[in-house]
Amino acid sequence: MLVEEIMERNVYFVGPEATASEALLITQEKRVRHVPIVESGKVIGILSDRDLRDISPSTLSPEQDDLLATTKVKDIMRKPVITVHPLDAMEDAARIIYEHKIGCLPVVQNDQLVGIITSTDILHAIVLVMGVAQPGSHLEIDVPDQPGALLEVTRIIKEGGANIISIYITPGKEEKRKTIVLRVSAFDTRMIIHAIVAAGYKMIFPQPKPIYEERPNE
Amino acid sequence: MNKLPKLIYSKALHDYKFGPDHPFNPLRLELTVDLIEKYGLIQEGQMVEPQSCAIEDLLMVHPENFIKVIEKASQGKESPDLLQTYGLGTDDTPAFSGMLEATQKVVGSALSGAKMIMEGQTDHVFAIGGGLHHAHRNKASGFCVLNDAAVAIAYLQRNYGLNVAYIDTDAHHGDGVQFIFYDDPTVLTISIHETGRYLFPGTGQVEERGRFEGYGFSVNIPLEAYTEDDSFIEVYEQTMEPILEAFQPDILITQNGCDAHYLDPLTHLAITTKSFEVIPRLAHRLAHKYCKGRWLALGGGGYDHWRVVPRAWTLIWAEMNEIELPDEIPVEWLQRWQKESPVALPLRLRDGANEFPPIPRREIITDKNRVTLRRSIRDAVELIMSRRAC
Ligand SMILES: [Zn+2]
Ligand SMILES: [Zn+2]
Repeated sequence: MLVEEIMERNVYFVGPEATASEALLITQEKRVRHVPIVESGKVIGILSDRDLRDISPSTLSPEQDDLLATTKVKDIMRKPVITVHPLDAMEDAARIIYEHKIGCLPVVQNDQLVGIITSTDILHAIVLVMGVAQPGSHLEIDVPDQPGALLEVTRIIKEGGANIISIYITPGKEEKRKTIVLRVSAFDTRMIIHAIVAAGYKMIFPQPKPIYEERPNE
Repeated sequence: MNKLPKLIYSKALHDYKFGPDHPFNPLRLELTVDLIEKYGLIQEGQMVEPQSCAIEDLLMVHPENFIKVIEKASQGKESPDLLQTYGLGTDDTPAFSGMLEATQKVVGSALSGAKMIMEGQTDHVFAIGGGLHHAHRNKASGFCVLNDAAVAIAYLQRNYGLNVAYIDTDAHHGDGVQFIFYDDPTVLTISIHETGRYLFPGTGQVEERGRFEGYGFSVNIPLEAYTEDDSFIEVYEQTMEPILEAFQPDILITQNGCDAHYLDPLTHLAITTKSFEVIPRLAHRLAHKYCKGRWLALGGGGYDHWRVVPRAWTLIWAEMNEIELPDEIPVEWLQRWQKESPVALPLRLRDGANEFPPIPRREIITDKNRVTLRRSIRDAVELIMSRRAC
């Protein structure tokens, strides 16, 4: 998934000569946490709602009332700004946000601001990748870290008549093991689970339950 | 109590079935009603034949093109591709011959239950074949073709303008009912279920609170896998009254799926009949406290149909009739069914205290459920109160 697929294209920004109170008003009215400072289309700085609140007058010192109105954003903005490109991968954006402990990344193409991506956008993308938006059941399977395991598990699911909604693989709890985490479009996953166990893999969740022979209903 | 509760059941409901090996087996209804009868809990006139609902009734909730597809599928005349689009033709919810008519009887039993209550024939109805809570407006899902609860609710809104409280204690999230009324502040849905992180359908997170005008009127309490009675009951009892107090419903509809039992083959909660006794007891009290006694109970999930469903649902019917049942299962019932059952039938109506080995992570599971409970109802009561005020 690329940044351009999940970024917000409608960005609220201000020019360098704007006042802090103008920027604060944008965060409040547009319900955004960050305001890029843009000069001729170029991102030259950024301010968060917290930066702006930090210079807001406190009730204890009313004489500072006009500080917001007189401070220009160019004098308090954070720079340089870390940006990403529309063709960067979503996971790279996620890593940058995580490593730099920042809340958002302006998206820049040809030196021009074209969008913004926030940690919330990334979380939403992950929710989509994990496939929670469609009805399904969760399976976690412990497999050896070698070729073929994923193929066999997916074949079993196909033979069970279910569709895979999402899939990801995490390092296993032990050395040389992996955990396959799946959502499958089945309400009743017992047959799939039994086939997985019969193929020699270990179910982490759910544990297999007994299947009784039923008399056929009339 | 002068007007006796009604139980809507006949073998006509057995037509709603997906095939011999499918877990949604109508045998569970037969076993349950037979246990109720063997306990001597049915008086003259209490058992009511289910009536089919009309297509127009379905149209209050489901679009015409969807019903058309079901109609054609019922006659085996629909293309597999189109069936897939509408959630049918899967192993879970396969199309079957006569599907539309069978489903009309299920929906009709919930709908006529609501009618009987509103027309004053009775205060309490148990529509035991109902509770198809996964059916969406436009899509069948999870053994549910059409949504009987939603049709009954739509009827109550349209004809009486009622505020309806819907409480769903099935192990699966009541997603169909929730999303059909997601924008609607006159329908409060509360669902307690195994967390969608593990169990089908995957929704039912605390943050799902409704939308637009309906924001605040969907309440979800996702429980950890392996939750036991004490934690389940604590969460249930602490949720219902404050939220109903805020909402002030005119009628209570409960979905009583009993697949949260530890023996259920499809879920991972670990409750016993102790909870299945508490659930209808509180629902009954709240129906009298807030809804002039109006209480429509529906069935729902429950896939251990030999050991769990008959006991859980007999407890509901006993509660409706205010009868305390002896613990010994009637020997006539055991004699009739034991030879057909692949498992040993229970000899007692209520599970004992040490039915299964101790759950390893009980303490952390209980704590997590408490945190979920707080997160869920902290805002719910306030939101409902503020919305009702305007
Ligand atoms: Zn269920
Ligand atoms: Zn009563």
